[in-house]
Amino acid sequence: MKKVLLLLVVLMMIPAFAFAGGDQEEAAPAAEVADGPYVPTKDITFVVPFSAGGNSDIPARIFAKYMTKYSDVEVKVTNIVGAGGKAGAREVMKADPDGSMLIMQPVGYPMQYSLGVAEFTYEDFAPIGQWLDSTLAVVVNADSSYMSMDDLVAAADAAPGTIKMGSVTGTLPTFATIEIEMQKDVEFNKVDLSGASKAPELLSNRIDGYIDGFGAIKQYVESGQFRCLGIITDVKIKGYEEIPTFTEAGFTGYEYLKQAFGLWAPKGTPAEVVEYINNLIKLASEDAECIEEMNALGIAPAHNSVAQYTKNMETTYAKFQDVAKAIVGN
Amino acid sequence: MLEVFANILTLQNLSLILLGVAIGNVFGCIPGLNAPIAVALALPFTFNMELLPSISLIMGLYMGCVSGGLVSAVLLRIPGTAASVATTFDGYPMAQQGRGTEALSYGAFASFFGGIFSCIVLLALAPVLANIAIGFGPWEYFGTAALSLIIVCVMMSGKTLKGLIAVCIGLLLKTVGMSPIDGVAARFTFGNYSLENGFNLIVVIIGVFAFPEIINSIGKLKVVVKPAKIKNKLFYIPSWKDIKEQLGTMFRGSVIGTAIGILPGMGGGAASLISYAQAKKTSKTPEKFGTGCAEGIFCCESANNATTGGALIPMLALGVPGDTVTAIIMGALTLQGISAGPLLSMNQPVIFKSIIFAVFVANIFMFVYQIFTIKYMAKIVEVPKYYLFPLITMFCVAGVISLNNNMFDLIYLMGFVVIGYILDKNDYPLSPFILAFVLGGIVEDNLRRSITYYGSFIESMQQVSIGTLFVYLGVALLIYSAFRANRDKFKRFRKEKT
Repeated sequence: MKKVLLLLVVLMMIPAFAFAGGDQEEAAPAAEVADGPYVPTKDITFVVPFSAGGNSDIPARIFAKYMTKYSDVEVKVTNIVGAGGKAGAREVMKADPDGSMLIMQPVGYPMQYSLGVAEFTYEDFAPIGQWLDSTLAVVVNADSSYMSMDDLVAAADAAPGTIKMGSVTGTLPTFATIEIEMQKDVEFNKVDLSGASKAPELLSNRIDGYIDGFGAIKQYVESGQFRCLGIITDVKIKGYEEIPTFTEAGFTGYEYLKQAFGLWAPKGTPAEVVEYINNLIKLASEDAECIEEMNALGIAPAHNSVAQYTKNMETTYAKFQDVAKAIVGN
Repeated sequence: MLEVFANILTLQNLSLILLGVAIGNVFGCIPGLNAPIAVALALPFTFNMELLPSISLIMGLYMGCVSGGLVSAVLLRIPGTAASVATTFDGYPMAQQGRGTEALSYGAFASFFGGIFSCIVLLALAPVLANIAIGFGPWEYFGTAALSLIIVCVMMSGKTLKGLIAVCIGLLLKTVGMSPIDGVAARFTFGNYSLENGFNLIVVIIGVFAFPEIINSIGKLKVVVKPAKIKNKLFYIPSWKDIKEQLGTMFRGSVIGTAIGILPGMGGGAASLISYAQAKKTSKTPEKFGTGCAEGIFCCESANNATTGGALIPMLALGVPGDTVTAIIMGALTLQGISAGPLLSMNQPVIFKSIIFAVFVANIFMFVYQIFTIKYMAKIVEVPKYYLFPLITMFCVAGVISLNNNMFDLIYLMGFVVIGYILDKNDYPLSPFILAFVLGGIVEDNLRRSITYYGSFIESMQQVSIGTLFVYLGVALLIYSAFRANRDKFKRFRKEKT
């Protein structure tokens, strides 16, 4: 009896694996391989310092797929979770500097450093480049009377400290709220939205508005439940041209609030290896399918040179230091 | 609808669901491994699959994991997850009486009933219930969680005070680590960085339940457990008479489970413990609870499986996951280009229904798988204890290590073994302690959030909301039970006098 059962299970598993395998082969057609003097021999591990299936993990998995397409080796995503994303960075810091282990740089790192909770900066790594542009957006309930950022700011001006603006405390959206407060000289009641539920708080009108990644709020804007008052960037999002950018809404000097995700290698990684991976990012970010898949999530692949990226990191770290000083000063 | 059936009822999808259920069952059984881990491990594989096969595999894993905890809870008194803590209360005594196969078949059927019930609710009422869930803000969560803690204590007849003390110890231990929300204060870490992440729930459960049980058994190594009656039949299902008798219990358990599942963060642990307390209170024979009665298994197993459909409601209808597993499932869907949320049921009704149908099929497979394997599982208790317990110890230690690859988890595991042993020996109930640990974060975070929303605790209490009602109800329940306990004493005192 046991044997028959076992056989049955095995028989049922075969088609499952056969199909799964088939799909895998289709997903990786022969593609042009990035040329250059350096050819990698080891698979590249793309470390995401947050859990699988999360907002940082999903774009990373998509992008790694397209990086693999242009490389001889496989680019694998691994999640090393813990200590607010710092555990992953610490692991990569200890790894061999041969380009086989990279860490995704989330926007959290400069912030954590400025607040004194992270001990490392981009200088402790070999920065490779930016690969993802994600945009923060300010949303209010579609039933509310706020039609523009000006309305929201005017309401906060009229009743200081009562308009409830939500964000997950200590993340980029909190800094964005503070930046709006500083530039417009108003005061919000900054409420915390950590935990799972952000949208329900606004859907039920318990808060007046919140700031989150555009990808996360997109579907509520489409369903007509939320109104997006502005996106914290200077470039329009394709398909959502009617949403004003923060420049149009009258803000300046908010570049550090752009949600840019980068890639770091351990310090001491040879320059040609860094260049090779930077070129992989370039090829993947220009792939039409990759762009389409990312845009569907409200994000976009990005690319810049190693030098440009390192310079951006420098200004971002400096700016966060300034803002953090302002917070502590309060 | 035909399209929905055609989507899932393919050989490939069905075999993936079965595979998921089988693997999930193993993950559910082993303490330390649980549904979030199983689904997260499967995620990279699903990335290369089509949408429907990946949904099939994940839903199979999810259902398998949630029900798998039943086996180790009943046979070994070791709950694999928080959701099966309540199952040990009656399942284990039953297995010790040589009725292991019966206990497992009850559990399997109740799980099946709860799973299917919540699935139907999910299909029929998802958008409506999701809108009710929206009404739950921080203050309502605080009220619900605080009331749940009080209910579990009050229903420990005769042990309310000890239950409350256990709740307080649980809440206190939950505060260890970085303060929630702001992350500014490191509380009770004494400069030890490893303590900053607090204590892991799974480690606490293993420490409090598994090891004290092993220590207790050392004195009884020679005691032979009455072997379960293994009849020469292919599968075990409870008799029609049993099912008919327990229909009401299962129905109530399923309603409680679905309702708690809808509320993000509450989870199967809270659902089964509350359902157990409720069933004991309303039972005609409450004295039988804890001695191995069928009702005690039916109530909690139906509740913990009903949370699955409940947790999927806010995820599918709102894009708000109800627990860790659904959060990962939502990520898996996003990777497949499906964004769970208000638009899913409108724009892609076929996919929406296919997901629910996959859950439905997974529940059926889970039931069939369990009733076929009961025969083999029930033999575990016949393994001599001097072989079995070292093996379980090894599994527990390996499970703890596999959580974070952190040796420090093992060090505080020993601390919790001591706490669990002392509490148990002094007749302190452990379920309020665990529930406090499960809900402690929700209570604290939402109280703090309520205060930022409304200004202060007093102002929160003036809100016209179900949260305020629950807080008052909790206080009233405590006063009432204190009054009642003392009234009995007073009566006895008077009788002695006369």
